[in-house]
Amino acid sequence: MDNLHIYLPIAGISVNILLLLGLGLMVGFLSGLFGVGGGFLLTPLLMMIGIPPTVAAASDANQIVAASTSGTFAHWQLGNVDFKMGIILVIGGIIGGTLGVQLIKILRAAGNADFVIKIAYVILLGVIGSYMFLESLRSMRPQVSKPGETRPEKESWFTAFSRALPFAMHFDKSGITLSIFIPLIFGILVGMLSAVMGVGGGFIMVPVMIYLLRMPMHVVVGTSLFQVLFTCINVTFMQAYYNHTVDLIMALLLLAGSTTGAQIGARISHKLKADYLKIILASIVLLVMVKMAFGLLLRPGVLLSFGGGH
Amino acid sequence: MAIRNAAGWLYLLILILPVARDSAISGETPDTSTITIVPEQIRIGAFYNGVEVKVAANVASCDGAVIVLEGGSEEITLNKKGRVAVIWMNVAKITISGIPRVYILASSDELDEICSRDTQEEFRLGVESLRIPMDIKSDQPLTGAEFDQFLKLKIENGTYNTNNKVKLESTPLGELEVSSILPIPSKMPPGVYEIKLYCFRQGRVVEMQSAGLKIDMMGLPCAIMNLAEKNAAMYGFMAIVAAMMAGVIMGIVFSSLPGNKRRY
Repeated sequence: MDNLHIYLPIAGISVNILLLLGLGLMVGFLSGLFGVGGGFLLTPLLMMIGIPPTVAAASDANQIVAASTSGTFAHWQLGNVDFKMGIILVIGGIIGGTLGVQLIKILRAAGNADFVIKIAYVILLGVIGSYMFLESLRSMRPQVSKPGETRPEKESWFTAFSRALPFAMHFDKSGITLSIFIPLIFGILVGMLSAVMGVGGGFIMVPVMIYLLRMPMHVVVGTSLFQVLFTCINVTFMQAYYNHTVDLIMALLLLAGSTTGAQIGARISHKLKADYLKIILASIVLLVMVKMAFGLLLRPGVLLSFGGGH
Repeated sequence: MAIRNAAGWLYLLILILPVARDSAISGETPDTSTITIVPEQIRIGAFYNGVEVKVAANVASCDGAVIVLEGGSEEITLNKKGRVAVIWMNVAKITISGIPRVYILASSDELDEICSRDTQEEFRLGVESLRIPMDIKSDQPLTGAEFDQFLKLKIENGTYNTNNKVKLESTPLGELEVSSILPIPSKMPPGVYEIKLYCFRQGRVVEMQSAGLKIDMMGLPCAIMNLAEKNAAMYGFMAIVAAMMAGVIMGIVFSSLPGNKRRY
């Protein structure tokens, strides 16, 4: 096992090849299964094996490009990508990403940007995870209704609000009609969060598409991957150009695992019930939230840390 | 005459004193012993995972020896964590200067058994001796625990390391061979490092030798590093294209496998 190490020139350390392949495989599997980029899981895992935070975040974005290309490709073949919706989300994401970079500058100047980011993570993951978990449990319960009786679906406040907005557009693939502003605003919000948190944003966009945009689950996964792909292309280039923190060797090893994992995940996602998928994703989101919350509450072993990254 | 003689002796003493101190350090047989390092140069290639460097020297005699590998002096900015309400967060930034980037020490015994604390401080032996030249600046009041926390961080990081693995063995020629194996972590960046050997007799340094250790990058890591630093836009573009190609190739490979249905 000792001679299976590879030197990562940008990270400046050597790591076991099998470890990187394994991490990539695991995260790619989740990516294909749920339509999330996996950045929110892989970045902390890379930091745990000793990769500097800035290099972990940047190289992770690079490997997400591969995993989401592979995942988007697989879902496109299966007819699961709503390109119309995806393009609007990507436009919003680019606007939001640009605003997010400025937000980071302001937060850093104000001090403790890391803390704000972590707290934001814990709150966001907690709310999304809990909501998804409860919603999935509710929908898994057997419905008690008399034969022949159809219960009209209650219109949510959000649906009513979105109906009132101008520039309504029909999205054939998703089978929904929405104001163009809804996906654009969500794209901007996710783009901002992506820039601040250094992730693809799929784990935020998937619940938004399911619960707020009311898109069908199989289209959600493919469309989310499409948006994550373009967000991470932007992040990879910016990180490589401005910070020199993209470790290509590490990214290639991670993506060798993640692209394989993404394909396996995409295939399995079609064989699993949507409710099971939702409850598994909710559990993962909640686990990451709990880990991050403990990180904030427990006394660290060393009260100093190297600067940079989050 | 006596006064003139005394003045002459005093003048001679002033001239000789620095030489005497140097000779006390360099020992009685400075010309016959040389420090050997194997390998003398470390090349970081694609499968580099740190190495062990063997350091050895023949000396006349000593009862204790210390080998120190030091990197260049660096200034480092660290985040200091503190508790605010129930949450641990970064509460200040501290800048530490005057400390080596890498400090690896091997000794034949516990340092306190080999020489006094004053001697340790004089020759910068042991991580504790780094406390004096270190300069800490912060935008918040210092608590005094910063140095210990810094040591903990560097030891956990692997760039500071101490052990008692120096061997002292007699040779057939009546000399003493001082040797040790220094662990070089993969985190040690390329550069030129200095390895110093101190030999002690009854707590005094009787001999000091030094040699350089060069670490440089070669092959694929070197090419990637150069491209990333000198042509960042090309590197970023390459990283994106490589990732997308890998994704598409894997997609094609998997779609060609049996059981993959197309649905348009």
